Amino acid sequence: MLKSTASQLLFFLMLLPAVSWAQDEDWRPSAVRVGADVFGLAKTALTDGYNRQEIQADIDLNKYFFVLDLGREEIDNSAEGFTHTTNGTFYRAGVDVNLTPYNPNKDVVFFGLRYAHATFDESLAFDYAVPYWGPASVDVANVGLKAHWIEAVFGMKVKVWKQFYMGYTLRGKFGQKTKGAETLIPYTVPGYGVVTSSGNFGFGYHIYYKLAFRDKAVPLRPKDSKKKLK
Amino acid sequence: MIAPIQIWNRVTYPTINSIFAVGLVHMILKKFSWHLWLLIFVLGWSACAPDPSCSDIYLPYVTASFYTVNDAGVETVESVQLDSLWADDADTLLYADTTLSIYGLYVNPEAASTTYHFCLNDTCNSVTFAYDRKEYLISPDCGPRFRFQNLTTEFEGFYDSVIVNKPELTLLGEVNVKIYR
Repeated sequence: MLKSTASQLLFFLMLLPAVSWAQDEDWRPSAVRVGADVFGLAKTALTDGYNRQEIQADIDLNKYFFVLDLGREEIDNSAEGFTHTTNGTFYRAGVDVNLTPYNPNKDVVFFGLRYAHATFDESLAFDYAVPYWGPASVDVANVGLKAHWIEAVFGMKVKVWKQFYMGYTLRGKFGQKTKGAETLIPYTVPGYGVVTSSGNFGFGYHIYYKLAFRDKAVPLRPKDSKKKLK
Repeated sequence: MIAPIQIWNRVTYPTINSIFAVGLVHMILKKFSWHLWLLIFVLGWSACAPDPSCSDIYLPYVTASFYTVNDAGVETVESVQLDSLWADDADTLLYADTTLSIYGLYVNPEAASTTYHFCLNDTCNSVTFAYDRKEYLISPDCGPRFRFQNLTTEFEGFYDSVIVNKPELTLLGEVNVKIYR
């Protein structure tokens, strides 16, 4: 169900360029932008038991961007009386629509959709005492769990100096499903966060470097191009 | 006559370094004010997020109640006297010489099933509860818990029938098991 919804959404976004293909616009990619999530790195430095690295790349196609995120996350939720760890990798793939295609700096305000997937291990160990049965301990783990979900994203990428850009991404995450869990019910999923039935929010703050492999003129606004023709 | 020095009116002259620093901060604030406000908002929001509730609806025991059914088919809860109530693999009695209409029967977390013996006048009825055990973390502050689901039963003895009324062991709803006499 989720996979079919995700593929339909992505298919719809991929159809958008085809709809306006005939308008004689520049569809050839001009640059790859590669970035790292500094918010995750800062959280890693400031939070005990937390470790996340995430990189992102996008490539332009007219006013659309194909985007790929790769990341890994380790979370240690252990406290007095129990240990709980989650670690794994994740990726997100999707399309962004540039809402400011006429910006002279090529700054980007975007909205997009992602299909996200994580592969991870989780373990839980604790001592307990159920009345009548007395004290005992349990040590359980899920190995090679797979989770997937959909994200609606909004954000911006602003040129700060030469080929360097900075920007944030707000993520609304929903439709999370996990496969492969045995008796341990997953608590956190790398890239998704704490598992909830109502979805989740995420935030990323990236520094990018733009690798341009050809010059691409900023398109004129439609009204400006009409004036030029006259 | 020399005028008194008014410290609060004292004029200080900025150095080149301080002009550069103020200018740089001003430039950063001007260019990234959007970003900074957003960052402050997100960090503040995450810091003020409410702590999860540690209350838990899941229970480690089966609630079992005794019923009789009259000729008109109306069922009535009734109190049952027991000399002893105990489980296999347990060292002690759960109840001794008691009369109740609802019994809370703790399940063995280390086993997939627990068999209880309801004994009166040297005669015992045995009811076996089978279940799935799951473990989960409520939150790092609240710690882990068990969840028992998919309850099924088998019985031996003189009870008419034992019916699973609610297969998940929670606070919500009615008793888990109805025992008809």
